[in-house]
Amino acid sequence: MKSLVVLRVVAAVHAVTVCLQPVLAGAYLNGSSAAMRMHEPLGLGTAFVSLGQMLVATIYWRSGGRGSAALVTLLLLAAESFQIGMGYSRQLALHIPVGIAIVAIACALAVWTFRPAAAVRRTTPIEVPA
Amino acid sequence: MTVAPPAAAKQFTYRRPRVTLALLRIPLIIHAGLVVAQPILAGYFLSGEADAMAAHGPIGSSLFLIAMIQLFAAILYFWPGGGRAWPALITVGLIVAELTQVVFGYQQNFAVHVPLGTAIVITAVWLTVWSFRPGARRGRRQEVKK
Repeated sequence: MKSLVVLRVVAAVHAVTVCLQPVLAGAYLNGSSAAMRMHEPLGLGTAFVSLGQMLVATIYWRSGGRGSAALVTLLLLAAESFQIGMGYSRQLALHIPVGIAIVAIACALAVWTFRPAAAVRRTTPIEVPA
Repeated sequence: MTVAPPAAAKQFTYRRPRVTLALLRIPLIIHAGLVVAQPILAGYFLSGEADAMAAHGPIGSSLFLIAMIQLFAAILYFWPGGGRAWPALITVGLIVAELTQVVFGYQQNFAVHVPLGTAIVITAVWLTVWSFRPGARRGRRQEVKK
């Protein structure tokens, strides 16, 4: 499954991007407006990374990998879209907890892709006696 | 090449932690529940609800005490329970992180407080979820001393 290698790269990039978001948000609350100028495009960017990851995870699923990676990515995409809306409308009571959930899920998914279970095919070829 | 003579076969046991695991789950659930409440309360505070800080502060200041009870349970899980040692080590990390978090919270240094808080929530929740998975019930390999 070559798609797993691509999925690992995309999921790792996604996790790193998402982990930067609370750091930038914290720097913004400390008074750095530059941090908010990065938090905003990075947040929009993560949703696009999710779209790409959705594509890769689907290829990974259809080529014998687990379907759960695509499902979790779909969940991330939905959460990130919601997160962008809550961020712009300053609904911080939702934006902060949802943000933490996104970081947790994105990191868990990235770690999972590097585990042996991710490389196991759903269906193993069975030898049929002649 | 000479083959070493077969040494007396070592015997191992895998003692499964049961009672101590159940005991460990109690502080884990309480800890995770309170930790999850923290970003919600912080969010309400930043949205303008000043009352939320009246809960965020006391919860944050007392979290390390629950973490200490959790450490005690995690040590029991390791010995005599026969479970892994790393839940206790992670709990030590959580205690340090939570005390640091209180300091940065009162200093209003959010560049540390927000990312560290995120890390604490993820670690505490992940440890709680792990405690309910089959891996937590497996004991570590222990050599039987004759």
